[in-house]
Amino acid sequence: MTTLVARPVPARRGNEQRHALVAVAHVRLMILMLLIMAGFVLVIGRIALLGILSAPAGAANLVVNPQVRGDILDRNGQPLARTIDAWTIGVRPPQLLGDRQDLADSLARLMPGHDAGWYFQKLTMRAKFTYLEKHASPDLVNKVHALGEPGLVFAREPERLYPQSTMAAHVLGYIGPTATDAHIAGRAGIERAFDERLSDPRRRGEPIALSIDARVQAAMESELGRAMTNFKAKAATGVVLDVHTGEVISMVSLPVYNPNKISGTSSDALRNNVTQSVYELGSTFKPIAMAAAINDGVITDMTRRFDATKPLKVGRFTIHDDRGDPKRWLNIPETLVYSSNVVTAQIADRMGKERMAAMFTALGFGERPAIELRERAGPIWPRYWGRTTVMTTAYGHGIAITPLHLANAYATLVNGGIYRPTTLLKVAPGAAPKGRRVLTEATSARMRQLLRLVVLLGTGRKGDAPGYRVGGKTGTGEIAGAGGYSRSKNVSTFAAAFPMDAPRYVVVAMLDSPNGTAETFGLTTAAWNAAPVVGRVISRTGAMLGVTPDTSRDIDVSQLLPLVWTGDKKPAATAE
Amino acid sequence: MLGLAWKSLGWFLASVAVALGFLLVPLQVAAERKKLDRTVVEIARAQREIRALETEFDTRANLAQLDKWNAEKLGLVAPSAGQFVADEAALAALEPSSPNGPQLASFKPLAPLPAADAAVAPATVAAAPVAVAVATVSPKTAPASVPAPRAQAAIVPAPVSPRTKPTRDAAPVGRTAMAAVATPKPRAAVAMLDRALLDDSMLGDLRSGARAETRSRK
Repeated sequence: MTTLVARPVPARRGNEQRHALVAVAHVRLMILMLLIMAGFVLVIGRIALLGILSAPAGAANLVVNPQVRGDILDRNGQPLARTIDAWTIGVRPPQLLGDRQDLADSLARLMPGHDAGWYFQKLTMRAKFTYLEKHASPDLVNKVHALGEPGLVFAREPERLYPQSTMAAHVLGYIGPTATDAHIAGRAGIERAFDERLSDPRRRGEPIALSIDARVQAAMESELGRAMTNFKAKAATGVVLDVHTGEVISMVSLPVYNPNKISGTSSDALRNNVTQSVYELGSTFKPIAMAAAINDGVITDMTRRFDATKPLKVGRFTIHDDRGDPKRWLNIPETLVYSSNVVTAQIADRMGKERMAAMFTALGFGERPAIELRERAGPIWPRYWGRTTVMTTAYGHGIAITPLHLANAYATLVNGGIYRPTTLLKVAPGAAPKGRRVLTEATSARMRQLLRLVVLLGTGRKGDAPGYRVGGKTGTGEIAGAGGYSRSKNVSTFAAAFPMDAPRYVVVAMLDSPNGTAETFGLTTAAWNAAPVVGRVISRTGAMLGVTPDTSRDIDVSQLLPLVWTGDKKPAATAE
Repeated sequence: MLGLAWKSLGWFLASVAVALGFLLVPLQVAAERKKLDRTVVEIARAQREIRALETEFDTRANLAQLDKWNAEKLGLVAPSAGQFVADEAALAALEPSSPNGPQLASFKPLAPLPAADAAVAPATVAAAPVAVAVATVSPKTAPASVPAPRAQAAIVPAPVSPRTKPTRDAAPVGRTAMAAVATPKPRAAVAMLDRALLDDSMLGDLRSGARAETRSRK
């Protein structure tokens, strides 16, 4: 209680008057005390409320996701695209104090990317602010800071970084503004296809896991790159596909670009040749036509022979075989091993237009490749299916598809006959799409044997990797240009699968317009340039993909082996 | 009157003390929570830094860079089919001391060999049948066999016997990784169960250790 000292009241006042005064004073004091008490209660209550209920001070920063854009990972969690805080160095020219020429010289010494003149021009600019360096290392920032110039400013800005640089550039794509749209968004690849998902504030914390395996991708890029330089090819593509899930393990398109530094990239490099370019892939189509013929019962007997002694005349067309090919009656395995156009055309003729077109449609050749990317090209489907069209498409002329189409068709050939759409997203174990049946199990089993034979005895020998039981088919298609097909320019492809006794992966390598070298005796066929790439990629990555090389195992081809007459060499045996 | 004043003052002080006591609890909670928040922020910062460092590491050691270093300096190659063993029995059956046995993982600098030897060696060892073709067949067909040894050199790991090493005369290190039977001694016989299960030096160590023990006991 507060002790009160009352003013001495003049004695001459009356008693009642005094009492009234005291009462008023008491009331006033009481009100004052209540007010003070109320103030105390208010303050204490507020403190208590703050202590008990208020959210933490930094909460606002914590709740909001620190990431500006989601990460992209490979199938093993290796980051392929990340957003990091990068240091930027800028300058406010009006606030500079020291001598600008001196400063430009020391900047040029610290950041040798540009010369002193360039820096001087930036420092004397009539602007409030301009960037000097956008990807500065902390070390460089410290050194520039040590120059002690208040006009130089440093900031951390979110920056999209592709740690693997050019690797899988066409799969990942890039982000940035375009000429017409200043907004920074995904402009190609996964960045474009999943732009919303990657920049959605609620979901950008969780990364996207791709089906790509960075190690396989790197091996494929290095081998293809080496082959491309070696043979001075115009472009090269490579695909590795999981045959049971449709996952794309590796997708390489050369020439490549660097998504970290996109300006000045040529349009050739920006094009994803795996999904955006269509090629007439030549003899790699023969196994597809053969599978169709076996599946439809056009061919029931592997020993059945067709006349390959002379070129085949159909109307005004003549279908030739290569000069080195045997000119005799060939059975089915020999047709593939020696890659005979004449026999394949005859088989296609017996099969007819409907069944051929139905097979191509079932394998997805009638539409753009089934993949998440937005950069997809439609195949060139024959406008008119004449008798000759049926014949030529059987050996890969007159129909142009993307390398991804081809890889998926081979996956269907060897995986038991199931077509599945290809995907760039990792598929959880057991979550593979059911797909649809295109070929019977028996046809697929027969195709595995035939493809293995091609590698054991035919043009695919250089595509073999010891112990990995590779099977595949080469194809050398001529490039159609102005004035017909070019004899000198071609597209060499090797489409393979391994291990053939229980296929798990399809590997396709393609070189566009390779040149001959001394090593290949000037030859530009796939057996000499594309097949070795596949062989080396498989021996480099097969074990990582979970296929144990084993020289003591192989698919049983003993049934077909005697059918292939290889001249005087073993296994010659039973042929005529 | 005065007693009443003291009494009420006492009540007042007591209630203030109680109120303060009550007030202290939420304050303590708030302080603790603030500490927690600071820790959370620190964790977030550390995670961001880890992320930045990881990214920097990934960028510096990107696969293309590693591939380049490997091509220029290291020359490591994928293990070949012969370096995989099917099961434990096959592993136990390995005989590293035999002339055709596997090379054990160990750091063994190559002895520098004269250039002439290096030129001859691939023809004699690396691919014998091919080499014969080179020697005997006419020049027109001979080049057909030339890419073969080269391709082999690129794919197959360092050749098994020391004689074949000169195929890569510039390489400084024996470069096969045979993880399954790695031992510190390069040429110790490992799997002859009766006598050579442990190599001689190891047995010697044990014996001398036992002698030392018996001596100290006396």
